[in-house]
Amino acid sequence: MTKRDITAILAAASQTEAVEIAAAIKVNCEIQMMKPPQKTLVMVKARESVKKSLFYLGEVLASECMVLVDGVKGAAVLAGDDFDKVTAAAVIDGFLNLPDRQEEQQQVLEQIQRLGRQQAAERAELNGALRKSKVNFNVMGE
Amino acid sequence: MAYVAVTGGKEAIEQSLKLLEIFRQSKEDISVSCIKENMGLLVDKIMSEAGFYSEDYAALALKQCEGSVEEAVFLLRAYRSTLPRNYYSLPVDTGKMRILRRISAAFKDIPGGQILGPTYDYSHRLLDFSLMESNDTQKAQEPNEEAEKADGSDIHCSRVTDLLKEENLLEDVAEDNTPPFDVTSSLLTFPAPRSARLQTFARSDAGFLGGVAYSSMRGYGAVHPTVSELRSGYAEVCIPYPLDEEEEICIGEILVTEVEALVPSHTETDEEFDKMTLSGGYGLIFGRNENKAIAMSIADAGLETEGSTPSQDEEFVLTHGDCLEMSGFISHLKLPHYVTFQSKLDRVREKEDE
Repeated sequence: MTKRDITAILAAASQTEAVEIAAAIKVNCEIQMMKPPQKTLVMVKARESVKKSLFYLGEVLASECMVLVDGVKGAAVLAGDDFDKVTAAAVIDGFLNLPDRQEEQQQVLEQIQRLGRQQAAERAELNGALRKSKVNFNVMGE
Repeated sequence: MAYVAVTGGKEAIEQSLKLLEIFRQSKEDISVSCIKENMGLLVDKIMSEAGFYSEDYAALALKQCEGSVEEAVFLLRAYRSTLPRNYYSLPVDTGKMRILRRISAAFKDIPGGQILGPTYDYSHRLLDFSLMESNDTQKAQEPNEEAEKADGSDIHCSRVTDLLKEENLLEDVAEDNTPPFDVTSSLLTFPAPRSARLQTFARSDAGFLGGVAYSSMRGYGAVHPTVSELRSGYAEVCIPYPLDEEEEICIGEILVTEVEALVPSHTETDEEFDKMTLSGGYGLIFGRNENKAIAMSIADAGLETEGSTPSQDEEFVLTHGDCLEMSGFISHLKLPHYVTFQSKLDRVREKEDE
């Protein structure tokens, strides 16, 4: 799993779900706060599809946090203003950056993958309903 | 005549603010989450015109100002100015958005199909009095058996214009990586770069942009496009990983509406018709506001044409559509102008005396 995959799942997770994963890490690791959670803006850059040039669409409210997990840095930036969730995401990131902890890291990754599957299942009903609104054209006279 | 400051009215102002509180009071308080969930399109409009994406804060702003759009935009812009901007996203790939709705007015059969999704386009515009009493939550939670049977995977579709590019009917240009102009931090000068135009349109008042587009289509301009594709959905926002710029992380998804409009070149003679070409107009905005996104694509295409109508005047279009600036300037007329007005009166009186 890439960092992008992991963070996409954590971004869509609830505060409780992210905090729960981080809680297990906090039991076994020493956590130090490097940059306490704070709000920030993320300017969204978009590529328009006509001339394929770049422009700024607008800003997204986000929160950022940086921690040390057993002396290794972890960082997170998530849309929204949930400080507990972004702190949990930074702890998870720091833990996944630790060297020589593959076995424990694999367990965390499995938890995140499970969460990802759960999120996909939650979207399935809406996606099914959207697909039902696909147009079947009948052209008159054919 | 320079402006002259006046003082006074402190107690009256304090009482006016108290009256605002009184007017905001209601028998049935409405929660921020209730506004967010029930007034989604209004929340989207506020975020779009504020250029600030936060559903919760947009709903809070609406609650604070009795639902006034311009006041809510003002509150969000003011709040946004207190925050540091520590990150710039990587270019959002709207081609990969998780689709909620996607239609084309140009082609019947498009890869991935036309997905109507949630739209008022086909609804009867009749007041539904059952909503006065009914509890919608119950209805929304009823399982949809037919939908459950359908494929539940996320919906992703390629762009409709890719078809035209394959046929060489539309020019496929190379990516332009010129760093964008930022209208929130630099003064706009003319001619404006394309990035400044698009950013300004994305933040524009929907009504103003709609008026510009409408005027262009009615003849005060040259653009009556065909909507090649309109899509709404969730696009991932990614930034470089703060600890290693080589990697990227996702901060979450944003709901956007995107429009690609096709504009054939103007033709009057057979010779011109034979040489007809297609060009495009582009619209992308926060949230679901299809008319604004279409209007943006028309305004974009309009500025590519030459003429003397308002919709073709870049300075006119780009400097009069900002919700905050326009409402601020109009609103300032309510402030005391005693001295300047007295001066004008004196001049009129002098003329009368002569």
